[in-house]
Formats: sequence, structure tokens, C-alpha cells
Amino acid sequence: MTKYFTIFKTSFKQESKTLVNSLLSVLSFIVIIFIFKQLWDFIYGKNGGGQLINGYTLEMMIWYMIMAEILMYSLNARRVTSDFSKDIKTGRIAYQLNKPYNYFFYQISHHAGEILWKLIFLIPAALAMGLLLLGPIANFSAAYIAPILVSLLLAAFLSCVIYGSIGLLSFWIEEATPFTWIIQKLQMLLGLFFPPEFFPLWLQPIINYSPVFAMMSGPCKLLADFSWDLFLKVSISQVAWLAIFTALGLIIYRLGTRKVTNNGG
Amino acid sequence: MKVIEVDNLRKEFITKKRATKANGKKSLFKREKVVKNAVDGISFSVEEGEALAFIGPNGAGKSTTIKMLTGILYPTSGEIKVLGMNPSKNRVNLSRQIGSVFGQKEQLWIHISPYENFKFFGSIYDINKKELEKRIEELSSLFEIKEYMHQPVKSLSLGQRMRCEMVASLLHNPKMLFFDEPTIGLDPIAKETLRKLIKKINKELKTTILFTSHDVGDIEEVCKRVIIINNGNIVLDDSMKNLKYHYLNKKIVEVNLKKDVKIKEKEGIKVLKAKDTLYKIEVDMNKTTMDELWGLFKADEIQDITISSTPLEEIIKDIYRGQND
Repeated sequence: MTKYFTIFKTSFKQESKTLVNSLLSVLSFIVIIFIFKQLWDFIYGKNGGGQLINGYTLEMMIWYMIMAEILMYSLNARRVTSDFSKDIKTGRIAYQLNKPYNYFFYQISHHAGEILWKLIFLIPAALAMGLLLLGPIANFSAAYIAPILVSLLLAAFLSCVIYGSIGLLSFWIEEATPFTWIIQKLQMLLGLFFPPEFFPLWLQPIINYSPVFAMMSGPCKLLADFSWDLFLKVSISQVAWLAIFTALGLIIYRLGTRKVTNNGG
Repeated sequence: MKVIEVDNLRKEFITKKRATKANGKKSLFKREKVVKNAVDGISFSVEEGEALAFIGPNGAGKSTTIKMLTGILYPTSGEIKVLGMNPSKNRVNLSRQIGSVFGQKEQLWIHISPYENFKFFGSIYDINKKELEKRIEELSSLFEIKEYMHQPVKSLSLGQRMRCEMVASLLHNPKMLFFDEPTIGLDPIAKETLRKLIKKINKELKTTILFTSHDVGDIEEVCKRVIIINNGNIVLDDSMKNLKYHYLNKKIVEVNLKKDVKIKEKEGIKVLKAKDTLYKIEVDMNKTTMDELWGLFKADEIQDITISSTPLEEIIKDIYRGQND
């Protein structure tokens, strides 16, 4: 476990040398938040302040969207998949396999370090934007900060495991990124643009029990309207999906390394 | 003590034949399996502390063999023992006792310094802090990298970076080190320095070296034994000394005569190039003597003469070609 923490730390340190990139990314994040704010202002109309759409006020909706954008910006899903794909397709993985660590966990720890570095910029920027555009969150307590952060980290970590597992499919297929593209679009459609309550009743339980809830809508709802019940529900979902996808990733990895043994490096 | 024992090692790769016009429709539903013997029953052993060159043309099977030796690929049949372990069953344990340096694939994190990288590798190989610092101190002196050890890797030249790659590979005190074209892309001076360092590792640290390179200069300078593999078979396994002794029997004589003389080829004497009074002649010392050559023209007709051995690179190329023919 210590060595994966070292990989995580080193990756964080390495990422910290790319300060300009991180600042540019935050700039684009701020612009996106501003655009979405304008869009939701229009949807809610001029008197949006008091109006409810599917149980969400305009402020709740924007805070939801801010959290969703933090999650989208903290992890470059296509890069996670392509990092795995490139290693496998170029045979570079062979040089990682002769190190005393598990390659799948190595990559996940590596990306986790990058996520943490990005969050250091994204969270203050998001809070500043939210407070500037909307003011403080209604009924918010300082006690909610820690669980929301835990939920955010688990969501980002889960996304990393899912997109990494997709990358491991490169052992069998030429191009794994289209799968990431499909999952990412589902994540955006069912989680980023609208909370689950905006979808037809028959679809809502599907979303709520899907990984999209654990990696997107769950933590977003926590920031918009925190409750301990919801936190428990989101945490259970996150831990369960994390266990499932980690196991799946390890199985794919094990089968994949056998594939290397069949088809060469 | 033997550190590598390979017995009748084979590796088959199975590929599927693509559709052609002739069998196109059939191939859509049933593709034909094609079996390629990448490594075809090779046997060899390596003694502790040896510096062995493992060479061959592209696609000869050397990478496949090395990947089987490090446990990355499973053999189709045959036995391998590396440091007393079966690599495919003990890959992780074995990885703690071997190191690798790849000329084209850097293992260092480029935005941080070599020193920070060494600390990273120390943790990966579970080396305790005190021991790691001692090791960094020793190796940084040996490789003379102290001057730039705290600069970001990306700011280092390729030669400096390769030295740091080598230090990173040696931190866990491996018993065996695999070098895969470590001097590729380096200028002649950096190449020379790196070769000397590799020799130093072998001599001073008693690390067994397994070396693959297409640069004959690397092999000639670093290794005492050479294994040449081609088409999955070992075509030569000999000491560098013997290779030179047996195969350097051909001399190249470049002679500039005062006047145009017709030189007739004889057994063991082959005119490679003739232009006006300039001749390039190959003399096979196993078949003839220099006296026979001198008999073909008079001593006072010589304006200038150079006698050299066939370059090792040509010999190795001939061995490769001999196999392919």
C-alpha cells in the first residue's frame, strides 16, 4: 500500500510542475460555470430565485452543476483510457510488468495524484464562482464540508477506475477510447446536465442505482442539498461500485496479461 | 554459479490469417490460424558476473527471450530458471532482484529531479531510508551525477539522463541487469562514457549483464561473451575473443599500385573493388597466405598499402545473412 501512496505522491509532485496548464484549465472552468449560470437563469426565468423545477431552486441547480463540473474537470477520462491503451498497444506495458507493483494500481495511483492536484485549484475557483454568482448555500453547515469532500474524492477515484478498466480493453481491441466516449456522454447526459429528478419516473431508479449516481449525481446532490441520509446512500453506492469496478479491472488486467503471453509484447 | 539456465525454450505466437481475394468469403467466417515459432528450442546458461551480449536481427526472437527471462511472457514449452526462480511463476519476486535499462523507454519522471526519482524507486523496491541514502550516495559518486542530481530530469541531456536511468535501475542492488540498446541516440563521447560505466557495474558491483544492442561497438567493448539468435535459434554462442579469432580471419588489403596491374583472383583472394590502380582485396587467411597475395604484384609496384581486419559488424552481418540464406 505504501508504494501506491508513493506513486500517488510522486504523481502529485510531477503534476505540480505544470502550474500554467492547471491555471489555464481553471480559466476554462470559470467560463463554463458562467455560461451554465446564464443558461439556467434563462430556463428559470427572471423570477428564478423562488421557482422550483423538479424540487430544485435555481441556486441548488447551479451548485449541483458546479460540483458536476469539478468532477468533469478533475479527471480527463479520455487521457486515463488512452494512457492504458498506449502502454498496451506500444508494448511499453512490458517494461512496467517487471517492476514490483501491480500495473493497474500503479496507473490508478498515478491519476489519483493528478486529480488531487487539479482539485486544489478547482475547489477554490468553484467556491469563489458560486459565492460570487449565488451567495452562500442555504442551510449549509461547516460539518458538511468533510463528507462532501470525501464524496467528491470517491467519485473522482471511481471514474478513474472505470475509465482505466476501459483502457485495459486495449488488450483485445484496437481502440478503447470510443467506449470511454460513450460512457462519458452517458455520465454527462444522466448526471452532469440534469439531476436524476429531471428524468422520467421509470428512468430515475435506474440512474440512482447506476455508477452515474456514484460518480456524478450523488456528490452533486450533496452539495446542492446536503442530508446525512443522502450522504450514506451516496457513500454506499460509491464504495459498492468502487469494489465492483476494481475487481473487474483486476480481472481484465489478469486476463489481459495472459493475452500478452499469447500474442507477444 | 549459474544465474540463468534455459533448456529447450520455445515460444509460439498464434496469429490469424487475414482474408485474401482467393479465400475471402471463407475467411469472413473462419480465419486460419498461423503458428510462428518466435523462439525455437534454445538452450544456454549464464554464469554469475558474466557480461553477455544477446544479439540478433529484428524479429530474431531476442526480445521474446528476454521477456520470457523476466517473466513477462510465458514459454510455450521448455525450462527457465533465473536466479533459481521460475520467472513466469515468480515475476514480482524476480523483479526485486533484476534491473533493466531501456534506451528508448525512460522510466524516470521527467518533471522532478533524479534525486526525487531515486527516492520514488527506493520506495517501490521497499528500500529503507538510511540504506537508500547510502546507495544514492555511492551510485551518484560512481556515475558522477551529483552535479545535476537535483535538476529536473527534463533539463538533462540524453547522456546525463541515461546515467540517471542506470542509477535508478541499480538502487535495489540487482543481481542482474538487462540493457536494451542503452546507447541509442547518444553521441560518440556519451556512448563511450556509458559503455565504461556498464563495464564498471559489471566489474565493481559484480552485476551480471545481459546486453542487447544493434551497435556492435557496444557489444565489443562491454561483453565477453556473445549469443547470436536468428529465426528463433541460437546460431552462435561463443566468447568475444573466439568470435574475433575465428571470424577475423579475413583481412582487407587496400593497395594503390604505381601502374595498372591485372590482379587475378585465386582461392582465398577476392577482389572486392578495382578502380584504376586502386584495389580492395579480401584475403581469407584460412585458405591462403599473404605471400600468395604478394606474388600477384611486385613489391616495388606498391605506392601505398593498408591491411585491416574485417570489422566485427561485417562479421555479425555475415552470420545473420548466413542464417537467412
